[in-house]
Amino acid sequence: MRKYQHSKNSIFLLEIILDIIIFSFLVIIELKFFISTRTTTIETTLLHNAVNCCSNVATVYQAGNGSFDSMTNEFDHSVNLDNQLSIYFDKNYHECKSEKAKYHILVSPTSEDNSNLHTVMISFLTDDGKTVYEIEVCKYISNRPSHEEVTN
Amino acid sequence: MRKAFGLSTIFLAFSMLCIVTFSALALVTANSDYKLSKKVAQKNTNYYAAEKSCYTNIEKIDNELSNIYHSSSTKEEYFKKGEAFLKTLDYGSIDENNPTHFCFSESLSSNQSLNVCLEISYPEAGHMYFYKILKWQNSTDTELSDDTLNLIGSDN
Repeated sequence: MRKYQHSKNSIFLLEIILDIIIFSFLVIIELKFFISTRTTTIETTLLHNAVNCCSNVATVYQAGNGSFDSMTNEFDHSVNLDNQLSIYFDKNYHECKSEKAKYHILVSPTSEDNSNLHTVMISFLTDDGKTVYEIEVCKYISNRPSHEEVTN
Repeated sequence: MRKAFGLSTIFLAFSMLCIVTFSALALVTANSDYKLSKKVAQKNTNYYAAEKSCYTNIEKIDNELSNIYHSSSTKEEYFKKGEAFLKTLDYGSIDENNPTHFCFSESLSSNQSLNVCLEISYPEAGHMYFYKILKWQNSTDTELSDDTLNLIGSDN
């Protein structure tokens, strides 16, 4: 009767199977890490650019006279609809036409018309309507006496 | 074959250790960047909120100075009434050396504030406004800022 002997190959095979199991387990953890990293990086880029774009629009608004005129001059493709100004941005956060837009900024007045302190809400929205960032910006128009009052 | 035994495990352990370390570091860095971006966004929001609050204060002063201007017959009377009005305001202080200067501040964060100083001015041909903004400045209270450094082995 022949006696069966385990070869070294079977131990090597067992080691490889064990390695594959550990490898698979660790790959799942690593993939989870990398996916989380990618998602967080995308969110960070979006928030960072949203803050920049809103600040740019705020600066243009404050440089004007409290109306949308300065912004419609500066942002060529902006659309004023029902006293709400929309400024469109493409995937690289450059201003573009509404057809190519991936994001847009909505500027809506929040102050009363008779006040000298004009305030607007500047909201950065994604194409699915999610608000990423918003700020309330004001522009104060100082009182001035008329020329006749000053000369008199 | 005897020489190959165990090598695959060592190679796998080393490569996995590297990849796990790199992925963990990437995640930590991405989280830090996100937290920093959120801080910047919050700081920006706080600044515009403080600015609005400052302009609300300026609007009150400007409106009252406009009323005083129209009710005053002379420049001296305008300044006298203007200085008396500034004394009634509770959100700022008058410069002791110059009673036409009024300063106030709005908080931006726990250790930062937006400081504004105004000067009452009489509208004339060169300057048609009731006030001048002398100072519009962010200031940081360095005494309150945490500049401590945690060291290994220190008690803190």
